[in-house]
Amino acid sequence: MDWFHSAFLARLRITSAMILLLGASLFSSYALLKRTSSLSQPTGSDEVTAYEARFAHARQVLPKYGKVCYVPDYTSSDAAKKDFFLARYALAPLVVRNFPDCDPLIGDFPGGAPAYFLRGRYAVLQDLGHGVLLLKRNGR
Amino acid sequence: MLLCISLLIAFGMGFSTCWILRSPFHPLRRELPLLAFLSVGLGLGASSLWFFLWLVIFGGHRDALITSEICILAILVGLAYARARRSKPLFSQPIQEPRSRWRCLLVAPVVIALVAAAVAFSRYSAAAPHGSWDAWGAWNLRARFLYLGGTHWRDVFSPLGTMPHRDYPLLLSATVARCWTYLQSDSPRAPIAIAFLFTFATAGALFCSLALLRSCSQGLIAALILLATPFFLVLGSAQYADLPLSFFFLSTIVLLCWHGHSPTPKGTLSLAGAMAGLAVWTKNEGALFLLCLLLSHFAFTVRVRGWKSYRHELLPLVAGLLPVLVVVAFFKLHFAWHTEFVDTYGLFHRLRDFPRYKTVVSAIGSGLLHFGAWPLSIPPFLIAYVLLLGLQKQANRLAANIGLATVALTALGYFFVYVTTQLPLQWLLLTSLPRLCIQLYPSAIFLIFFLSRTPEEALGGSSNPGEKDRNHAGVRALVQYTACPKQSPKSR
Repeated sequence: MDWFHSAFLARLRITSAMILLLGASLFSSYALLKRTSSLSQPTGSDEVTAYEARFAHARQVLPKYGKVCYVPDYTSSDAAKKDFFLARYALAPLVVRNFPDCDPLIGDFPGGAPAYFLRGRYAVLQDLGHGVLLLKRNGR
Repeated sequence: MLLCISLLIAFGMGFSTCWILRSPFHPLRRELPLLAFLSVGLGLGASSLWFFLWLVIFGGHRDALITSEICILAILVGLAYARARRSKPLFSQPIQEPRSRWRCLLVAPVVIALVAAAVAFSRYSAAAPHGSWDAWGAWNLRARFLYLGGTHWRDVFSPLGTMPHRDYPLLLSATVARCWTYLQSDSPRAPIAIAFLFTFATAGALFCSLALLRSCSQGLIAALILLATPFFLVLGSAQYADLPLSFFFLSTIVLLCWHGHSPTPKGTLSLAGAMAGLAVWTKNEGALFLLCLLLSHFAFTVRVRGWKSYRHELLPLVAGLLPVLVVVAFFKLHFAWHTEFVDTYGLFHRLRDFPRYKTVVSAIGSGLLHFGAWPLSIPPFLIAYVLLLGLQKQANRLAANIGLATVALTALGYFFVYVTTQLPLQWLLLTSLPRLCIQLYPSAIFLIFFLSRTPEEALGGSSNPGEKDRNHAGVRALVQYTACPKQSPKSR
């Protein structure tokens, strides 16, 4: 095993190890830069900022604290969960309840309010724009 | 400007505390950068604890918060100054590390990786200034309640809504809310700056600790690997709590290893305890880490050094840990005692469900192979590197063994949380496994490079830095520390 510890082989081993790690790391940094170059976009055009803008009017109408119930857009159930999280963030520090069992309610319909869904169940108190409605349960 | 002031005050608190607790000797110039990087997390963590206590005591009245923090900083700086005046120089002349060829070769790639990481971080942050899903879905949402909620800040724990992770501790959210209090606005610049600090302080602490305890080239290689890990930067810019947690895990293990080389291990151990406590204050996983740390410390120290030495080490560790743990215990008892991840109902049934083990093992195997979103799988490269350079045969490996056991036990704990969770297993693995791996990643990298030979050692043919590489400044410092007459050999 002496050859394994000889100065030449030691240098070779270390150089190989360095080339492996340096090469992999620099390649990764390059790939990272390349991947993120397509992310550049104008400030304020991200989905959270856009959602906050949608709820700007609602924030003025609703009380600052307390509880509000939320009516999600059942027509897009896959996106409904994300919409609820975004609405909850936009309306904080108001506690947003994901069950339509209290008044007032916030209806969140990014694609427009579906009349068939609202009919009979909720009365529209105010259209806050951008698919956001202030609702009240019917018969209450 | 106000954001910078808020961060500087937190940093000042952390640095003064580090200074008070460290050696009574003048610090080596080489120690200062490590102290500075550790101070980032310590300061942000300590100020978040103070912010939470302020909320509990004074509620919505925040006017005097900034004044109180300035007073605390002034007291800490005064104590640190008094400590500095009483300290004496350890070395008559400053130590210069001899220039190594490897060090010169490695600086350029690390600078490139650092610039690439900073650019990638800024691009991710510009694309998503509010962070990713869990940031605006949980961490920053809670920060908004704490900042905007006024006297209603307790609504963040309200069972009426569907608030996420109500049982999670508040370090990150309170830190963000504290910065917003300074700014008087809930600007996304605050969470971005905090995420930036934790991400790059982790890389900085990794580099400086290895440069101090092993060699500069070893620190540079480790920092290069961390900075080139794409998912580390993705998660950092996502403003999640996993990166701050990984910072506290790393800091605890670094301080444990440092204490083995320090002439005044009590202060270093207290700092390690404080860092472990702040890990508990960051995420629930921190509690598991602390338990594993205490178990490993007990097992190894008692076996190697005996009960007396264990008691001597445990006291300062607990002294650093206790102040943080008291606040966390208060938080848990009053606000968040319930955890959503482990449900005792059906626990034994899930423990006997062997297909679950298979699912978790297979996910971990696949996760490790594709770890960190590297273009090329990094674990084989790291294994090859360690095999080619070999392991060092250092006489004092106790601290490293405690660190290794802590990381291994924490990983085992994560494994059993997956096996026993009542949540959908596939979904939980998919959404959390890469993040949990990143929590332990900087600590694992530190331990790998702490235990493997440096390029200089491998070239010199020596695996014991104390034998052939005495020119090295870190080793000289270690040797002189060891020769310090005030310390008994056993306490080291």
